[in-house]
This record gives sequence, C-alpha cells and structure tokens, in this order.
Amino acid sequence: MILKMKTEDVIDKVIEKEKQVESNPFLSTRIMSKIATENAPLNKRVYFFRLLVVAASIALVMRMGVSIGKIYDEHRIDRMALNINDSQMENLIYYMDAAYE
Amino acid sequence: MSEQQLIKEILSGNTSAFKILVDRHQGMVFRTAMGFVHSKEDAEDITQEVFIQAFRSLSAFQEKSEFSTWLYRITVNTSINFVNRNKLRRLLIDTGENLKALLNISSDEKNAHQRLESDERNKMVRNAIDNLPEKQRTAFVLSKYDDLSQREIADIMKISEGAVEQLLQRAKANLQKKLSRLQ
Repeated sequence: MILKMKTEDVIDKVIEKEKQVESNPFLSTRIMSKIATENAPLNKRVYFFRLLVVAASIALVMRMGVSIGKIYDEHRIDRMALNINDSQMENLIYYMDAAYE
Repeated sequence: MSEQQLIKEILSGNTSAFKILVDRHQGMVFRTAMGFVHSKEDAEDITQEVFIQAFRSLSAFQEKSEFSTWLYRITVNTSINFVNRNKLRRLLIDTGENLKALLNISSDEKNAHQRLESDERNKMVRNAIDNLPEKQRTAFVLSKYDDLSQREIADIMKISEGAVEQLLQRAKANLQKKLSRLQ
C-alpha cells in the first residue's frame, strides 16, 4: 500500500507541476485577432470585383493567345524571300546523272 | 452578464463579446489541453483552435447543456485530434530532448544525474498517461487536471456516472501497472 501511494504521489506531483504552467497572458488577444481576421466578412462588392478581375484576366490571356497566333500567320515568308533563298541554294542539277549525259 | 446573454450578443454580431467568454474559460481549456499534450506551446495552439471552433459553431449551441460542458467536449475532441495528428513530431521532439539532456551533463554530475532521473520519471508518468485508452485518458485528465466531479465528467463524455467511475478505476490501475518500475 505504501508503495502504491508512492506511485500515486509521483503522478500527482507531475500533474500538479503541469497545472501550474500558465498560458501566455496575450493568448486571448491572439485568439480574438485570429477570429477577427477569419471572421471579417468579405464585402460583396469586393467579392464580385475579385471575381470580375479573375474572369477578365482569363479572357485577356485567351485573347492574347489568339492574337499572337494570328501575328504568326500574317508574317508568312513571301515569294520574294523564297526566290532569294532559292538563288542561294546549290544547283542540284549537277548531281543528277541526267545532266552529264 | 450571463453566458446566455453573451452568446446572444455574439450571435447578433457583437464579436467583441466573445472575448469575455474567452477570458472566462481560457484557463480551463488550457489546463485540459495540457493534460493531453504536456507542452505549453501545443496547449496554447489547442486553446486557440478550440475557441475558433466554438466561435464558428456557436449558432449550433442549443443550450441543452452548460456552455462550459459544450466547450469541454470541443476541447477534448480537439486535443485528441491534435495528439493523433502530431504523434511523429512528438516522438522526434522527445528524442531530441533526451539527447540534449544527455549531452548537457555538467561537471556537477551528481546534480545532473538527479535532474536526469527526475526528468526521466516525469516523462514516464506522461507517457503512461498518454498510453491510456482514449476514454480512460479523457476521464483521467478531466478528473485530475480540471478537478471535475464524476457527474460533470459524465455530462461531458455523455456516459453514466458509474461508467466514469469504472474508467477512472481502470485508468488508475493501468497507471500503477505501467509505472511499477518507479517503485
């Protein structure tokens, strides 16, 4: 029984020590500020404005993509450029057997 | 101002009235959390989580029970979830602390060893409490850390007083068994 009491005493001592620990005096302020931040009702106008900005951004990115694609189409290599390139090409006729015969 | 009036105030939009509730019950929530996590920082985190949850679900509080009973239930559930979530982290912290304690043995070896022994004993008690089955642990923490009566514990745990008594007896027997090395 005496031994049993000893164990209980040790347990009680540990618990008593933990019970003496006090929380941060600013804990309630911390809690309230957290609640205030979380609870701040998002203004409906702000919410719709945000939604609008996001939608507009997506539309703008899509439009830019299409425009860039079109720019590429419009700047095709024209015939003159092709001719110039052709003139610089090696004449393949030399390599054709038919030309030496 | 009574708690019912405070709750009505908060629900009608006066958020600052919640601070009165926090100030009234913060100590008890913190103490209960300490019983589950044995660490000041973790207990503070749990206290914060409990009050945020209570604030969010205040409209669901039906006043069938005392506000404190309702808050105790949230505290117990939050603490148990916290413990389950942070098992690995706790293990790493304990290992680190053990190493630190071993490395810090100073030239005054006798005192250092006594301190080490005392720390080890405290750790064993905490581990023994932590390893109790969930219901036994809850009943034990509420009884020992918050000095609640069996009636109050029964209300919080939604069980009969007899069941609480049994849980407490089993918890004590389990602790005796686990801590037999201390004798």
